[in-house]
Amino acid sequence: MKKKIVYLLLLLCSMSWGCKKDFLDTRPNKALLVPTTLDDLRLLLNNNQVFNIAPELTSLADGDYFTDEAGLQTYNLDMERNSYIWAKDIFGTEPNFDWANLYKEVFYANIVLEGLNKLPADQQSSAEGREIRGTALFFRAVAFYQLAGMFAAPYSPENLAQPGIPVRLHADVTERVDRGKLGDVYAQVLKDLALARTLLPETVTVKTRPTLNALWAMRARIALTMKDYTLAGRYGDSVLAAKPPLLDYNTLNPAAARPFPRVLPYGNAEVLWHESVLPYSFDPPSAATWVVPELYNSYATDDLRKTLFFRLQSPGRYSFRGNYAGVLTLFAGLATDEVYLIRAESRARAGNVQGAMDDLNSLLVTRWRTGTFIPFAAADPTSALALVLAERRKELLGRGLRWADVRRLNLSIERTANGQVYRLEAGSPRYVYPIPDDEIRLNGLVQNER
Amino acid sequence: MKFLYLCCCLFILTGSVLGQSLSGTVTDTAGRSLAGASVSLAGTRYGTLTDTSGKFVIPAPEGNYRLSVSYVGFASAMRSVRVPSNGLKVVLRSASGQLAEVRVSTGYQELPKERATGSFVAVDKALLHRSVTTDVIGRLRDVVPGLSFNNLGTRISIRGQNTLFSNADPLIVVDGFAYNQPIENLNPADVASVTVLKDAAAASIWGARAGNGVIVITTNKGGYNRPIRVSASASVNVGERPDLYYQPRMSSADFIGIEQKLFASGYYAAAENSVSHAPLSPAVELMIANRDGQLSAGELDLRLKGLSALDVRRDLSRYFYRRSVNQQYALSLDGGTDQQRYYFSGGYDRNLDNAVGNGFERLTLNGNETWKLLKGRLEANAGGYISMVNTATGNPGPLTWNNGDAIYPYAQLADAAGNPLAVTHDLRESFVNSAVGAGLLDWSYRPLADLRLADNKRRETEVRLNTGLKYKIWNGLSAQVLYQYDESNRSSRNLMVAESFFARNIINRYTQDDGSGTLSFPIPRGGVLDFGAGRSVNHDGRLQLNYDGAFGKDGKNELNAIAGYQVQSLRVTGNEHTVYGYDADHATMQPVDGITYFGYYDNPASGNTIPLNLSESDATDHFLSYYTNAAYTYDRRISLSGSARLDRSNLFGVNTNQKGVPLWSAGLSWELSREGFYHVKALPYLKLRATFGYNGNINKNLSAYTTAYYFDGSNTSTRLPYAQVLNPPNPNLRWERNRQVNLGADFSLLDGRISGSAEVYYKRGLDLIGSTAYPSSSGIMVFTGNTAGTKGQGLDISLNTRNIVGDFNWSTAFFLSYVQDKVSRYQQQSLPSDYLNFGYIGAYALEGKPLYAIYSYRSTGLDPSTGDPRGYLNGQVSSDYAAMAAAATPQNLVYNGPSRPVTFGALRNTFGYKSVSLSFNIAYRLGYYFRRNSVYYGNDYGLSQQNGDYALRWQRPGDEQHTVIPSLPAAPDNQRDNFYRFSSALVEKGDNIRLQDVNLSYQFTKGRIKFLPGAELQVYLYAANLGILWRANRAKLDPDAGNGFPQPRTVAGGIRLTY
Repeated sequence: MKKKIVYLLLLLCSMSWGCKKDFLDTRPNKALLVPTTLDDLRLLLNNNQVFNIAPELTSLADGDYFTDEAGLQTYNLDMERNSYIWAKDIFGTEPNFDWANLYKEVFYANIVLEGLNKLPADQQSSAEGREIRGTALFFRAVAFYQLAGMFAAPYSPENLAQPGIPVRLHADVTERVDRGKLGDVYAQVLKDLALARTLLPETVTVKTRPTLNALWAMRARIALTMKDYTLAGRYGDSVLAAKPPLLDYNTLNPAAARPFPRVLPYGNAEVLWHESVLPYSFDPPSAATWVVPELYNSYATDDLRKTLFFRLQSPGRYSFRGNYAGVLTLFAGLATDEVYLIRAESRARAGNVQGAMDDLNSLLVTRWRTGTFIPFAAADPTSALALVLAERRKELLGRGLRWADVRRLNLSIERTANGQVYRLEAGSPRYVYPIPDDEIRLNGLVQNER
Repeated sequence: MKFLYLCCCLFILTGSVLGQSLSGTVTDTAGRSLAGASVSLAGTRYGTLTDTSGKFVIPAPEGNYRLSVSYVGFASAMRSVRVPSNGLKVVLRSASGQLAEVRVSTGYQELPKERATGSFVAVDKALLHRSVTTDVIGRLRDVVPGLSFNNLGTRISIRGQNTLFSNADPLIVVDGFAYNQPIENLNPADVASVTVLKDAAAASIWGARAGNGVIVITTNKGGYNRPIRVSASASVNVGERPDLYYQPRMSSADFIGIEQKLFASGYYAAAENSVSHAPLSPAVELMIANRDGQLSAGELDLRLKGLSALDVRRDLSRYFYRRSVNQQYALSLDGGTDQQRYYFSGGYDRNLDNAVGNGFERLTLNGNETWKLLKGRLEANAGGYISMVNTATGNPGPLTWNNGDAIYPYAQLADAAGNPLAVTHDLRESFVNSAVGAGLLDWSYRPLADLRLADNKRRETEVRLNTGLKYKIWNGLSAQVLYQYDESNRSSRNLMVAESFFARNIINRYTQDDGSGTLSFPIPRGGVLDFGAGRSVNHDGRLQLNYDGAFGKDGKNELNAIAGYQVQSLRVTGNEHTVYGYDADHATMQPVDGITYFGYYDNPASGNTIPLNLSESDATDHFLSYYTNAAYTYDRRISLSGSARLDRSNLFGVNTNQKGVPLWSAGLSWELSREGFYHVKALPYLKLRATFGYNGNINKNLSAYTTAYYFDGSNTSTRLPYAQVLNPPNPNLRWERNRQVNLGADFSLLDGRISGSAEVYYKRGLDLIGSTAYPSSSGIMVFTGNTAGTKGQGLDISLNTRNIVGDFNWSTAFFLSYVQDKVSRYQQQSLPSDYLNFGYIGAYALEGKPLYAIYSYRSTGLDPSTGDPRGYLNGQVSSDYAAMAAAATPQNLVYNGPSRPVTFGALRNTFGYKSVSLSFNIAYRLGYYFRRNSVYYGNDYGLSQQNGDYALRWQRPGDEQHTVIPSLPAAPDNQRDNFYRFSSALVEKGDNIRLQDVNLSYQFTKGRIKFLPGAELQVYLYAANLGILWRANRAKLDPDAGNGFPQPRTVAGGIRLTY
């Protein structure tokens, strides 16, 4: 009898310890992973709904678009209406997804960088390991740069001690980071990009991933924001040395709904790196958001952009449709045309009138109907600069870049809405968006005075 | 090792003597064997309990004795016997004045309730048969103290909710194994009894899954030594057509009035010129025609008046809803010899839902058999259960237009002859009408035609096989092996035929125009067919030692113990895909290009790839558990119980050491009335109980490491696989635990005319998973971890009285449950806007307040001059909504109260006269609040919501005296809308008392039916959801109706025959 019990117990024990390890290590869901390998980290960087998304709310404030009372009513969010009239408070108690998504990018990038540091040295130094690190650094730098461009004061030597934005360098969500100083934000951006320069590849398979050329273009864009025009020109040289292609707009079909080739997965040759804006309800072309008449009228009749960029909605109301991404959400990435314009501006500011005009003309000849373009010429650096800036606004419309120019060039804007005249003064504190309410309440960040 | 110890202990304790013996059976007057009856030889130490078939063997020296047999609920019997003798038959008479015999099951063992220390509620077959529902859980409504049916959150909960974000459903156990399938798969006719395990001592044997309470379902089995019995039942349950007019809805005239106002302000200009061909309602189209000179002002007026007279609810009610008809049939055979027993049954259900096109069909086959082998030492059983469930979902639910708005109120769905009519949907009418001319398919939307074409079916086949061996090793000691295999295959098939709007729309939408008017069709003509398939395979094995015996003088010491080891593996897989160009006649389909991005014909600025909806899922749950449970009873007066369980699981990302959670409980019961010093004549039966212990709960969505979800990328523009972070690393992640103290008393007085029990309990949820708003700069907006705790207490009282006994009899069953729970620990406060909701738990909780609660802005009526809603800002009356929202903190919001009933219960009276029985159940739910809907003006003055409160809005000074509904705002103001929506003006008390159901039955006892003399027949009528008797809210709302309509009244008729 006792023997039987012993057998039973033996059976029981063997059952309990025999296969326990594997049995309890089974993954509960095959779609789950703990990012530890290079492949896993790459999967995180492939998430282009987190990365490759630029802020967009500022486009409603930058003066390129207008709407009317009824149009304003059709926008979904109060923050859109507030942004349009440069209200003192923009977000109320709502969270802002421009802010949240950019910090999500930072969070993902930090997970990737920390994950990479835990891998064996040979994997870190492999070609894939280097590209992953370079890509994560690039993304993080771009996110900090875009955050500073919306939520911190414009870059200038006297503003360096102004509050910046939290520079989070660790994935630990419990870490508290305050706004620091504006100068430190840009220093971190430059540091990340300098490191990425040694790591990024020359070419990539999909344009959501940054290349060395994209890095130079991004550095040129940032140098321009920092008003370091010489450096911006030098970075422009680095991009343009390889003679990246420009689209000849004569080859595009103006009758097509989306005249520009889709960037993804292969697409538009002019694009150096793809990013799209975070969609808002005001986004053209479907919403009641139209290009301001003075801008539309500034395109010459033979300028192909006049037809390719716009669609007439009702008399005097043109929607912007010149989306370089060739899809629904607007393009906000880097393209060769922007680099030409950056270098032209840099040259004009350095007094190199001919150089500036050469860059401008190289670009514009591809934008006009074949045989109609008469190259621009300028008598002096001031008029050269004016020409370049005017063409910059016309060429880069709809890419979310104008707000940075408004802040950099200290522009003022006036508009009427609901029977009231609103004015954004030059140098206004409303150049800086308020910090979203959740950060003030939960994180104790200092609010911007507007 | 501990098992060895345990076994040694058991041996030492048993120490029995062999010799001559006395054997026999104990039954009730109906011949049913009584298991667990106490049998002893008076004045000696020899005694035992009867086994599951009512048999006993008492080894004792030869001689003459007095045999004493007792069993709770029955009068004790004494008689002279001689040892040795065999085949003694003892019949116990049910004792009036004593509790009826109740056995409860934990799923691991069955025990008499009188020996239980924990909180068990047993629901017997008669009570389960009293109501008519398709599933067995529905029959527990308003009959089980502590068990509530919820409007918010899980369908049911036992003693409130002890978790915030983890699984909150009670564990359902069928015949000893956790049940992972939809409860609708189980035929209620096969259920013999249900036991609800409420406290730690009752439930902790289920360990990490017992935190929400356990419902143990035991199915019918045959009986030994019982002749074959045939039972048949049939019922038809008819429900009223739902009341679509219950929710106040904006009238067509008001709707058109707003449209006119918006039209005059140019609101529709953007839509009119939109590239996406945004739809405009028929009224707005008329206004455009009038503006463009195609329609005279007089004609416009006339046509708008015509539209104003329409109400879409009339068509909806007539064509989309109907009376529900649920039919239920069951047949079973059972019986047994002394060597084996069996039960076989079949059941068929057919439900036609209130919503036209929706239905349910179930076929069940059930069989189990138990054999006694090796002279009764070995008991083997095998059972099989097959259920086939077909569900049809042809009803589209609420109709929409304009990409998701509720359909405009003057839509006409059918003409006078009932022929389907086209209505405006998501595209403009002129564009829709031009489609055929342009070479496309008819693009018009006829909801009624679609309803008739719908073919959306789901089929689920479940096969459950179980087998077990139980071997009697020694006196009272047995070993048991149990195994169950449960496989369920689900397939769904939604065919949208070529004529359906869905198919025509998607074919048209993807049609490509090359610019010259030449069309190509990336989606071939034909139907669209969505396939889904799922499979779940569950293995559950158990090895268990049982000891059940009495020892010591007169068998005064009784020990009942189990210990075991359990392995469970559940794997759930599924996949889905969509095919196009489906030809139902030939069952063929055509390939499509799922890679290329196509612009939409109706909105070329937009587009997509052809959705193939390819998906595959594969999830696995593994559990390893060790458990033990022991109860020691001394002299039937004092019982001590204890249980312990260790669960391990494949919780993701946590290393094995942390995977386990040990849970235990202890309990004590004392039948005071058996003590010599107890002389309270008024209270002849009194038992006190106390238990303490821990149960667990699981949340498999979290992990200690950064966890990401893998996507194949087929839907993205890059087509690269990618990952999304689900949760940030959390090295301190632990399992949730619930600690519970339960104190109870069972009593009976006045000869058993009054009996009942009262229990109080205290609960604490420990290490609960909580969610906290995080500053978005951290990269997450919500952090989830073991940050929360809850505290609860409550009371369950049940009282049964037999008021009149005799030919005419009247009995009453009453219960009252009081549940109070609150969040005791929550690390960080969230934004005030997170607390302003409709009473759902949402993502947040607030310390010191219940999980389900209503908060609001304090409001003080409307501004007499503008009709603006007003609240308070820094103590001053204000209409500055932005400032009030900004100044709001979770503390200064009004806490109205819980949104789940705090007190609930039911009063059931049963009257009988001879063979007629009438019973009705009145249910009450008290102490809770709900937020009613009202106008939300939004950007379009409330057109998309269509709330009927619009008609009652403030329109001129003075209206504020009798309305709280704000005036039409001058310009859209979402903050004003939000203030009003969440203001205290819209919070109502939920308290109500309702007549839940009435049952009238007539019983033909044996011999009453001449042509079937051996038959018993019951005929009954049952009506449910009979209406609200009293409610606290002045708005005359049914708090249970939510955004829909009140539960329609139903009436059922049925028969139940036993032969």
